[in-house]
Amino acid sequence: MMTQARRLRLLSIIFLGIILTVILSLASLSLGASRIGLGEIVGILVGERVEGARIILDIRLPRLLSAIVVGASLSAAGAVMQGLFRNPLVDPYIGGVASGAAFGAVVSMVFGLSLFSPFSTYGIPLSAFLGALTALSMTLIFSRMGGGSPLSLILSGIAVSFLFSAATSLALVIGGEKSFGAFFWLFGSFVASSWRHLAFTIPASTVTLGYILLHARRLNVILLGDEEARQLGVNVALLRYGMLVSLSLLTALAVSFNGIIGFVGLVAPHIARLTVGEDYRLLLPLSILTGSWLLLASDLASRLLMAPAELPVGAITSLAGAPIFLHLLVRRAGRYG
Amino acid sequence: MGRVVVRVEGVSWSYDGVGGIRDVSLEIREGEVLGVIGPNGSGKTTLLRCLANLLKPHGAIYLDGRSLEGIRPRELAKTLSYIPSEYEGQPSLTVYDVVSAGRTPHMRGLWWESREDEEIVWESMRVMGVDGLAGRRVGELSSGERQKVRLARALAQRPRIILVDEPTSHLDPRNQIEIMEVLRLMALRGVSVVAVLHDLNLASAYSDRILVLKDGRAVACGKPSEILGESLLRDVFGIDVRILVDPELGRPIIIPLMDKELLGAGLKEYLDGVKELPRLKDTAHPGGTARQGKDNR
Repeated sequence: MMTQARRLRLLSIIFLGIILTVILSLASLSLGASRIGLGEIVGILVGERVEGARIILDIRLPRLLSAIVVGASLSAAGAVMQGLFRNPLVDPYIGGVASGAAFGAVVSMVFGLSLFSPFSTYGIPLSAFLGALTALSMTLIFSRMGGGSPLSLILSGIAVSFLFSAATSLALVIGGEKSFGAFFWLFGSFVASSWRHLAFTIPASTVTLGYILLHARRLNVILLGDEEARQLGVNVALLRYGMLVSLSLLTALAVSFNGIIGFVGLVAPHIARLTVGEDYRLLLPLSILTGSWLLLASDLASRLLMAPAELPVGAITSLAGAPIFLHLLVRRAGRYG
Repeated sequence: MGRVVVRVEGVSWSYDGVGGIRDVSLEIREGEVLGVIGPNGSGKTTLLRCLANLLKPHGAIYLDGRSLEGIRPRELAKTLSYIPSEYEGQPSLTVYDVVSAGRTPHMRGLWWESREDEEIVWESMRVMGVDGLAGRRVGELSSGERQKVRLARALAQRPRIILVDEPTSHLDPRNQIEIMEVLRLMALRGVSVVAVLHDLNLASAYSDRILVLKDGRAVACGKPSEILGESLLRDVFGIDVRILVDPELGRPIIIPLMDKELLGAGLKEYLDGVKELPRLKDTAHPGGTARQGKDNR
């Protein structure tokens, strides 16, 4: 009964999800500085070489795919963090992970760190991944030293986040002229999306998302508390490490090429949770979809609101996300305070 | 009495030399309720966590003759269920979410429960009378309902051994009795139940045997009527007691009292000049004879 209902629900989520994603994607391909009709878009996608094909294939399509990848990655990372720490107020940004990733990426961009010279294309994401893992470990260690409460986790995450932001600023100042490109990148934008990046981020994030989805049921068991999960035969420590590495990787992939895009990882899982509850088998797929929709819409807004000028998409998500976060905070305080 | 299922031999565990248990040996038999009593900090929870293989103590614990350490966690989880004293999970989980988690060690698929799993989940909820709450959030339940949900989770696990820590704390009398009856019925069906209890009378009424812990050591173990005596309880809990015997069941009924000599120094000072602690008598019944159900006020 219940399992059957949830299976049906998952199918309908996937079905509706694909439809909504396609609609938003078509809007995203069509609208912009120059409008391109739907008929032309379809023609271009199936291979017709008409006027506008370059705009669609080289600019808007990579941009759209980046928005989907980043939205999916950040919201999956947020959903996993919220469950792993049993704290609904964390996401990759509040946990310090994204700031660590940004610092890693900036160091690699500005100083051209040769640590990974044999893999130069992957230097930025690798360095971002190391930054993310370092920041997350620091947040967890400080939080444990501070008593391990949900509040100490948030406070320690914020402190680590500020620390890495400061380090990023320093790196930018020291970098001088070389930092110019990194400055705009930091605001968060899909402008610079390219097929070269996507060839790396799509497979990497797909594999990581797949790994997380495979563990959806075990994540459910963790929600019961560590002791109960362990006595149910779940290797909590191993699962936790696997998930921490995965969410650092997802955050690093999102931040490396598209900069700081806040609040998606916090808000998307909450919207999904309001609809389907805590079961990760439904929550994760819907969070991933919701995150993609939010970023597709935000990217569209960033192009249209002050056209022909373009707003940083990170600013849009923060403008929309900050009030939602405050709302959650106040509601939670009312319930548990 | 059934065969021995768990054998504990000289088990010790402590956190930086504080608290914990010291050199505890014990046998747990099939189909018995073993009550564990002792003051706060006497090592009751530590003992349960050692039995659940959540702590790695010195000494040896055997389950069906096999060392506990050698049993894979998932296999152990099919045999043994542990319910910690407090629910520390997400309050937003639904009752169904919590109870179905009990099927985790038995599940063959990676994602979904099988039809059989689901039937067991519903049956466990029905047994505990919480099937009507399946879609409710655990955080919205009363403590009695929540405790029944947690017991349903353990039932869904279909274990042969249940370790339960303070199952009746914070519950009203009706819920206390219901929970204890469920544990006793499970024992009748062959499950071994180890229950940490604070209420001496519940322990006396529902245990086949009682284990008494003090400062991490097992100071007594046996039938309630054999071990629940005035000197033992004074020694272990630091209280005076008056013990009556249930005329029908022969089980001890314990009435805790306080003696001035047992008070802490500060309280003694506070009572300066008072020779004896005044006893609170109900003057309508000066002899203290038992009431026969007539409540005339």
